[in-house]
This record gives sequence, structure tokens and C-alpha cells, in this order.
Amino acid sequence: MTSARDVLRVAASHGLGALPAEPLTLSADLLSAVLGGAEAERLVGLLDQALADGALRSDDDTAQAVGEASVRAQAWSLLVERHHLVVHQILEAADIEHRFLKGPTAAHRFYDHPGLRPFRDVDVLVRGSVLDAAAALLEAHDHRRPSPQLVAGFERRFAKSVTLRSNAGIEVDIHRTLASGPFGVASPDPLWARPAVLVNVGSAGLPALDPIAAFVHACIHAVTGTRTVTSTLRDITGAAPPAANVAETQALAAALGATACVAEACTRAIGALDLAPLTVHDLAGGPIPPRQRAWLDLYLQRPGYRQMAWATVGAVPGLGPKARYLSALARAQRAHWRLGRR
Amino acid sequence: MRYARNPQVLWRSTSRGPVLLAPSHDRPELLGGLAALVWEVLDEPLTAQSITDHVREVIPDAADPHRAIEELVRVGLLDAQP
Repeated sequence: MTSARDVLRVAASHGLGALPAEPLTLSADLLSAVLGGAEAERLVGLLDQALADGALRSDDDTAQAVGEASVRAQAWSLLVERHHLVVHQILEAADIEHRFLKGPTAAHRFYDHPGLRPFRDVDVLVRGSVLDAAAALLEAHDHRRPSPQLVAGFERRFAKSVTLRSNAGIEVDIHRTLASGPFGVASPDPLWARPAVLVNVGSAGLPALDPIAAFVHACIHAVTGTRTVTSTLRDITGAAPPAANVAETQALAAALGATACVAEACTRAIGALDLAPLTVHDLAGGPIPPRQRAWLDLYLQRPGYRQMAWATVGAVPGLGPKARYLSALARAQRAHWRLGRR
Repeated sequence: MRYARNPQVLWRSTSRGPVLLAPSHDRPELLGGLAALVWEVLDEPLTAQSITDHVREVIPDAADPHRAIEELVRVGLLDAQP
């Protein structure tokens, strides 16, 4: 008997290979569970396309409901896409170098059409040295911070990202690194050493990570996020490097301290999708440094703040930097308590 | 005269038709009917006659799309290029 999970797997894999000889049926009684799962996993566009192409079967009412869900998802994606252009203009006018992550820069590059990859917020990477300036600039342009910075200078030195919200409710995450916790400790400088790629969105070119860096980022995101969203695994298959670039991909992952993320994310993509490029299989089999294996296990446990902070201290190289990190954490924690007592 | 999608219009394909966000609009809109078909066939700039031919390849008995084209130009979704 077909389950919602079966249907979502077909949707997640749609377009990677030939159409199935015997399409599964999305029945009306599965619709609610499938739509809920598709929205959570950002698969609504692929689900709609799979039905339109005959990879899945349904009655007309069910197909219409999926189509309407896709229209809603696309409508929000378009508003968020337009907001990428706004953020780009603001940062560019201030000469703040930046690279957009995921969102339209994945949807327009790694999919047959961008409607297959809905997204919900803006993610942009800047150098740590300008993180505070970038956040202040957006605040000056009708964005607000849901939570204030507790200790001056903490975010630009230690945080993964700063979250702001536009007046229209669109979340903008300004990233300093690609991950929180121990996988976020390595310097992101190797990313900045690579030239940006411009991705055409409307009549503008949005600066983005080049395909190899975007692939490594998708792998890091899949492993270190609060959960693995299936669309991120699909991003991995779309951005997978050609065989000639596997060594460069591994070198970049190693430079970012994320060798384990690439191997683990590729393994998850192979498990979640019906078909994955050969290079994803090659990268899934790569060796994992033992220390990173331990970090991977930690992320899998969904650790609390304290546990993650201790693991991060262990990852920070050198006694001096460890002491500075611990001191900053302690000051942030005290400020957090003070705020809580008010 | 050739017609092209206004490059400043952000859009997505869905099974219900294209969803468009025009620069001057606050909200995205779902195009329907002949206008949706005209939009979808304009992967490259086309004359009105070529648009009509493409539309009728998809729907042989489709109505004349000239009025839909004019309306899309009027609301700024399409550019008319001499």
C-alpha cells in the first residue's frame, strides 16, 4: 500500500531519471499528509511537476489541490526572491562583498526551472569583519533584529549568523560561517578566495558561491542544520561536481574542515533519493577524519546549547583562542541571564 | 513587432499556470487562460504571428491571442520591441 513517504520520495527524485513505468497513486486520503510533508521538505514544486509529468497519478481534485499549494509556495518564493534583490542593492551600495546562499541561487542554477525549488528566507554570507556593519545597514533599511546582540563583537567573531526580519516579515540571515558548532570553527576564508558567480534573477545578477562551493555548502547545511530538509539533499544532486572536479571539491571541503559533512550528506542523499550522480557516490565513500566523525555523531544527537558549546571549544585551535571563546561565551551567557531577569 | 517577457518580472511555472510578480506590484498573481499560454511560449522574443502559431500547437482551437498580448503589454508584463 502506498504511503505518504513513498509519494514524497517519488517527488524528491522526480527528474533525476526516467519516469516510473508504474506510477504510484496519490490518493485523496493521503493528500493532507503528503502536502504537509512536501511543504516541510520544500518539495511542493517537485510534487506538482511529478503529477503534471505523470510520475505520480491522482484524481483531478487532488492534482488541483497540489497545484494550488505550489502556487502559494511560489508566491512566497517570489516575494523572498525580490527581497534578495533589495538586500543585494543595499550591500552593494555600501561596498560590502557578499555571496547569496541557497534560495534563488540554487533554484535558478541546479533545477530544470526555479519553481521546483521553493525557499522561505534570504541567506547571505559576508566576511566576519563586516558582519556588524551589514546588520546595522539592514536595520537602517527597515529591518529589525528579533534578538539583540548580547556582547559587542561576539557575533562577528563567533556567531554563525545574525537574523533580521524585514517589515514584510521576510527573514534575512547574514552568515559569517556556514555552520554552527565545531563544523563552523574553521575559517571561511577559502570561500572568499574563490570568485563569486553571478546568477541571473530578473534583470539583476546575484553574487553566489561558485558551483563547487555551493555543493560543499549544501552538504554542510544538510548535516549541521537542525534537521536535514530533503530539498537540501536534492540540491546536492543538482550541484554535484563533474568527475573532473571531485578532487577540488574534496580539497575545499578539507580546507573548510568539512570533509565529514560532504561524505555524510552524500550518503544521506543516496539514501533519500532514487538516483544520485556517480560523483555523489564517490564523495560518499571518502575517508572521514576521526575527530570529525565524533562531531558528526554529536550533531546527530541534536545536542543542547551547552553540549554544542563545549564541542566547539574543543574544535577551536590553540589555548589562547579557546580562552577567548570561553570568555566571550561566559559574557554572552551573563548578558542573557541579565536580560532574562529584566 | 516582437514581444518578450519583461525581464524585471519574477515568475514561476506551476501546473495551475505561471505565477508572476511584477516590479510595481505588492503581490504575485496567477496568470490564467490565454494570457498564461502566451507567457509560457515566450521563452524568446516572438512576433504576434509566431505566438499565435505556438499557442495553436498547444491548443489547436485556441482563440486569437492578440488581445491577450495587448493586455499583457498594457499592464507591463510584456515588452513590445520594434
